[in-house]
Amino acid sequence: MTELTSFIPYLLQVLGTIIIFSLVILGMNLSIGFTGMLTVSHIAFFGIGAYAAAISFKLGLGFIEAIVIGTIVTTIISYILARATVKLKSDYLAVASLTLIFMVQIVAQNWDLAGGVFGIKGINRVKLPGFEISPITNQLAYVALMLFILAIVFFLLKKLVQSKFGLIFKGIRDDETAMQSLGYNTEKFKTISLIISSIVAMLGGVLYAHFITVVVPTLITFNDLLLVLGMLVIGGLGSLEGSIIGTIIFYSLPEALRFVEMPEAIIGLARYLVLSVILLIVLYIRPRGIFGKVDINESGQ
Amino acid sequence: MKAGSEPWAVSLGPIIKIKNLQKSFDGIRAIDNLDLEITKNSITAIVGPNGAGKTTLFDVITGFTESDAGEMRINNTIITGRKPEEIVALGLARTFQIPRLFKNLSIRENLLLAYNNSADKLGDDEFEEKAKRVFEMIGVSIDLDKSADDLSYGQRRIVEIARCLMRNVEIILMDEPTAGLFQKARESIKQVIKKLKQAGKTIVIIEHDMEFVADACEHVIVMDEGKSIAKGKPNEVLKQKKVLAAYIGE
Ligand SMILES: Nc1ncnc2c1ncn2[C@@H]1O[C@H](COP(=O)(O)OP(=O)(O)OP(=O)(O)O)[C@@H](O)[C@H]1O
Ligand SMILES: [Mg+2]
Repeated sequence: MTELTSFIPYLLQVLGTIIIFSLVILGMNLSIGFTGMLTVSHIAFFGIGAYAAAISFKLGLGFIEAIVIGTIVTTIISYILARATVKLKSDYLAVASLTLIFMVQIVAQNWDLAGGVFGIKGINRVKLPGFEISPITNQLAYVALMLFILAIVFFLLKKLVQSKFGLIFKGIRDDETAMQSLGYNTEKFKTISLIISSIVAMLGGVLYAHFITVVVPTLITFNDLLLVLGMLVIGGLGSLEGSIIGTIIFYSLPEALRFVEMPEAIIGLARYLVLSVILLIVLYIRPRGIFGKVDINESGQ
Repeated sequence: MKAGSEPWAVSLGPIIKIKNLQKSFDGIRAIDNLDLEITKNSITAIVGPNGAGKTTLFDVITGFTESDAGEMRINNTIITGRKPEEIVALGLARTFQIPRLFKNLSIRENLLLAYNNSADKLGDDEFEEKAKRVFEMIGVSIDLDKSADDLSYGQRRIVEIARCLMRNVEIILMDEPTAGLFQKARESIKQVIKKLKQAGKTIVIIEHDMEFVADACEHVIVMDEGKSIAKGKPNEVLKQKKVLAAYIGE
């Protein structure tokens, strides 16, 4: 019984983390896999979402307000990022997106309202009526809410990539020059794609803040870049299903290491080793990723 | 009132008009003070040795490369300095020296992207109908669900031309449409070009095969070192000494 009561929160923790990562990966895939825009700015927007939720909490605002604020801030910043880089080659966007991650972190560290280096602690779990019996039921209800939000986002993105708009994104990914020769204003569509994908990643951040209840500046670092890119690539560029499966595999397999007895010192190392091995095996068998529709070296020009 | 100022008089002028066009790349003059006129509803060949500036001319006309100086007009509208998407919206389509298909998409999706942005687009049924007609005209039957990536080089050229024709345009620029193709495919491209002219289109093609030019084109413009060195009817122009010299002396 005691084992079960500690296992369920653990399982919810894993599931919740997978949901949050999935949103970031879905956003990245819309940019990189569907539109051919090489950017990792989604990590920055994830951070913006987390801070939007944390600061909203501090100011006495709720979950929905946090999403609205996060969306407004994300739209403005991703619009500026797009305008500044769409004209340039893809590599500039990559560099600019790395810089953005850095900038968000610096702002978070130096902004009093954001709690400086200590961040913001004690953020509330979103309470759903009827589930406040115990922390576990409440956590269960929140994870269910997150799953619901993920499902809605997934459904909307699926509609988007199957629509005429989605086809335009894919055309830009495959050959932007050819798209211009057919009369498309590719800068406009790249901007739209970047804004939508950034909002998706931002949502992950809002969910994170209320899930983990602590938001600190070190949240937004390059440390997890490898992890996030691994999730994206393993599931496959240009596949939304792949983004979810890739996230599950890449997050849960190393998680299984927790149940293997090993010295504390090598756990981190073992984790990266497992991740690398998974990545190598999958990409050896399926170079496009599990569900991928696009060759990695082909995306962009 | 002078005849030239009457509205209908405009359409009698050249459909493409270029004056004093200049374009240099790091001091190399790719286009050197070029004057050029393309007659409406004609087939014009642009010929010239490698590096003569032919592709650069197409790139400048379609707005992909910015000119240093000069003026370009399509149907009397100034297009100098405009963006590619604005220029092609005036009723212009082009192919590229190396075919540029959307390689992760099917042929149908390749055509759809062109069709969806056409001024006269209608519904899905009309799209299928139009795609069928375009391939019938080219004289090739092809499975539209095939991925563009699975096509042979020759098929890619054909599909790229088909994609151009999915938009309702007046002017079609083709950069070496027959390069690397077998005789049979060259012949069908020749027929396509002739049919397009019959349909009232203006066609400009960059072509290295002089037999093809003599047979299919009404006008030829010879370029060398960014300049237009000769122009006229193919059988007259291609015999000229300076034209032969440009080719041999490269
Ligand atoms: N983007 C560019 N940057 C620098 N130089 C260029 C560029 N594009 C073309 N050039 C140069 O401009 C000149 C004209 O090139 P262009 O491609 O227009 O020739 P072309 O007549 O199409 O030749 P080909 O028959 O080989 O296709 C060449 O000297 C070429 O090296
Ligand atoms: Mg050329």
